[in-house]
Amino acid sequence: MKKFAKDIIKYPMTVVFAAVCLCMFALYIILPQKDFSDMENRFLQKRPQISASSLADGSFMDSFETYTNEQIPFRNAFVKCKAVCVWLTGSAENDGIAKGEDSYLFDKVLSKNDKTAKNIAAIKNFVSSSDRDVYIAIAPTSTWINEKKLPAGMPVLDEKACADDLAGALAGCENAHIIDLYDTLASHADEQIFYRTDHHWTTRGADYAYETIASKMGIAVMDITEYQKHEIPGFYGTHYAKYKGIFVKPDTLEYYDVPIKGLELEGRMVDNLIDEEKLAGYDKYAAFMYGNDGRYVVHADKGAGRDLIILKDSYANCLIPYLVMDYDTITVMDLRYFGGSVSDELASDPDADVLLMYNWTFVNEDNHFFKLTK
Amino acid sequence: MVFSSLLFLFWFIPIFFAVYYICPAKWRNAVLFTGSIVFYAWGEPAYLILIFISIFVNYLAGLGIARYSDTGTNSVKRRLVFILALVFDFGMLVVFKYTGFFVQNINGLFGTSIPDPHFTLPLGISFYTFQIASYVIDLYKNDIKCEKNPLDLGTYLVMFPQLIAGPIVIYSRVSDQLRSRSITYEKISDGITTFILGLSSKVLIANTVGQLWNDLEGIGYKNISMPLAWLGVVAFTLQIYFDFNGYSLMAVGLGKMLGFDIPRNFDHPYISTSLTEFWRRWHMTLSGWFRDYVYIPLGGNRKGAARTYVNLFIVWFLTGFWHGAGWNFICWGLFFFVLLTLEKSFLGSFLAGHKVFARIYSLVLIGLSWMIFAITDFAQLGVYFSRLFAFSGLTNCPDALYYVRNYAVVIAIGCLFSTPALSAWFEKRKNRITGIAIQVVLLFMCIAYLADAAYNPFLYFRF
Repeated sequence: MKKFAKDIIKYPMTVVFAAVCLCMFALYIILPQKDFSDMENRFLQKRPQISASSLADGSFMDSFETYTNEQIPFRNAFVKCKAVCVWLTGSAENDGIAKGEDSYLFDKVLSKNDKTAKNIAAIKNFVSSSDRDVYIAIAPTSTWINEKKLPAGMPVLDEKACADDLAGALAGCENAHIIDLYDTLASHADEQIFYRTDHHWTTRGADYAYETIASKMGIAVMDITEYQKHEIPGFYGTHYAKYKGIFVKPDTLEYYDVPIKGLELEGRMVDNLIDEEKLAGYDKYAAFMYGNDGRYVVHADKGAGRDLIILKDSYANCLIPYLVMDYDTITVMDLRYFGGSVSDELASDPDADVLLMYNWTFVNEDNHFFKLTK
Repeated sequence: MVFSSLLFLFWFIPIFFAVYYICPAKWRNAVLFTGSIVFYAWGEPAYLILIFISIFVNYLAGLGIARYSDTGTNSVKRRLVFILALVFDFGMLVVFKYTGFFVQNINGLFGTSIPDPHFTLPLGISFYTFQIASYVIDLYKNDIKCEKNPLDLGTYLVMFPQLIAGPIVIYSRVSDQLRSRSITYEKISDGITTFILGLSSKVLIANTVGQLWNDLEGIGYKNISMPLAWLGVVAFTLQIYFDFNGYSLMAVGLGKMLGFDIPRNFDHPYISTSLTEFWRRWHMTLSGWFRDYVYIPLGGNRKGAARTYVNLFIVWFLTGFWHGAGWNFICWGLFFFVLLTLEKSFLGSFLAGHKVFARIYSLVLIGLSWMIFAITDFAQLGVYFSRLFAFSGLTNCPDALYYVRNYAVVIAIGCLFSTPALSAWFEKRKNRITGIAIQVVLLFMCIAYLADAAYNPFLYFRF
């Protein structure tokens, strides 16, 4: 033993390396596994069960590898440490998110996706499948709106030109009504219309969008400020979940208490538009409309005499409280999670207005537009 | 499985090495063989069968070649076994790696429509084929003895440090160590240090600068400014070196921890003052293999000038083609054929007399050669080269500023460690407090980067 100690002391790396590897191995086994990462706002893979079939098709190996990456002991400390190292090298980016002026965090969209053309075609197909009026509102990204706040020289895709492609493709359809939010929002670029740490627009951004949408759709522009306003500080959004660096200012999330008769979610009925539980949690934006159910119906408490059907992504969630002031019933579908038929929904309320409300990134990258005509 | 993963570091290493060191020496090959099979099968269980067939066929071929003497009628049988073994080994490589390429080219040339079977490339086949071929060829030349124990031959072929991406270890180099090898604390410690340096090369430098190169693809080559195009050349040049050298260092380090002496694969290639020198320092085990098993058997430079050039052409054609089943890889190989030929005839002596020019010449041409290597589509390659010399973009290049800001420090570190400037300094301190501290910091940084890894490819996994 003495000889061993005498030999090994000459080569300390053997001890250090063995200790690190063995301790980490032991900690993987001893430490409880986590379900969810608050810092990264996502579910984590747990240690998979071994079975003959999962071994044969390789899925065991894949999930085991994901498990080792996601359940590494001291994960948050390591991930934070990496973000700081990257920052120390002078980089504006970490994990594809760039930090600009005033601690705004931006997604870096470099190129038009192959899916863009396909999605535009699917939207055109949907519009031309009937002669019903369809309103289409495409929201810009924070990166495009806040071009002046980007780190110097960061490449930006000309997203407006891509949005114009959609308008061009629909030029022949008389029942298609494009609502251009680019100009509206660009004229308010110096206000906080997007969150610093999240990809969504703020309630104020949705407010400006609402004014444009309402005037284009021929409905009254209502004043939401007559309702009680709430401010929830300490919101770190999706962009922060990827960036994870230091010196980031949190956002404040605002919402108004617009009264409703009821919000019919999948399998339950609630009596307000905001999930207060989620406001206390990490992803506060998910409080709007209780997150992204595949289909939900808002029953407003005024007799406006008009119904609305919205096909949307999560950007619409903080816009809907505004539209509630103008409509009786709003049926909302998120094609990512909606299993039913859009055609049936449309047929069941033939007089309702129809609005497509998507963020440009969604048109660029999503895979579910084909469901529009299902 | 790859070395630069948490799975390898914290599951494979502790379990495998604990068993390996505790086992008596006579069982260690069995442990190493089993561990290597698990390592390989983790990512690619389907092609495991190819490896077993290869061990079986070459083992039998070895016995056959050893059995027949090289005189009289037996020499015919001996030659037959030898040729069949080579046909099998290289046949597998051609079928799995090049079928698609040949089918596409034949269809394009003759307007036929032969279906492409779309084989996935078996992991490491380009490397292990060359290794096992060295065994059969050396045996045929009577340079080595036949391996009687199939487990030892199998262990040689599948040994996990070099199974997937080299270095290409020829059999004669490790045959003694397969039977008995010493494992000392000094070797283990050296191995760990080498492994950590390799891991850092890969994770901290190659993966990081690799993102710059990836972004250029995203932006589209036609949209980048001239300075950004050159920055891209620098980034890819560093990425491929730190990626591949990192992998090779990890292999050498793990080899030492197992008691094997795996040859170095790189010797600071970017300090070369000619392309001839570059290829003496880059992927040395591959160029060594082509020299010993192709160039010299063809006659090398001993059969007159014309024959020498033909031999060089064959070697560089094959070197290019080995790197990938695509015309751009062939062009990349022939690019070196042309320049090495020029250096052989007159350029070499000029370079020897003009050191500063020689360095610039070497670095620029190496960088440009990587573009032929990296961009597989000729139209895109043309676009990239047009950006490299688009002087109109020289004054207005905000994109380059952004990328310089993000990557300047990593690129500077990469350039520094492409030279041997700090090697001697570190070598003296690696078992002292400074060296230990550096290694611990590097190890923890690697873990942190891996814990957050969204991007972790191995460039040489395509081969």
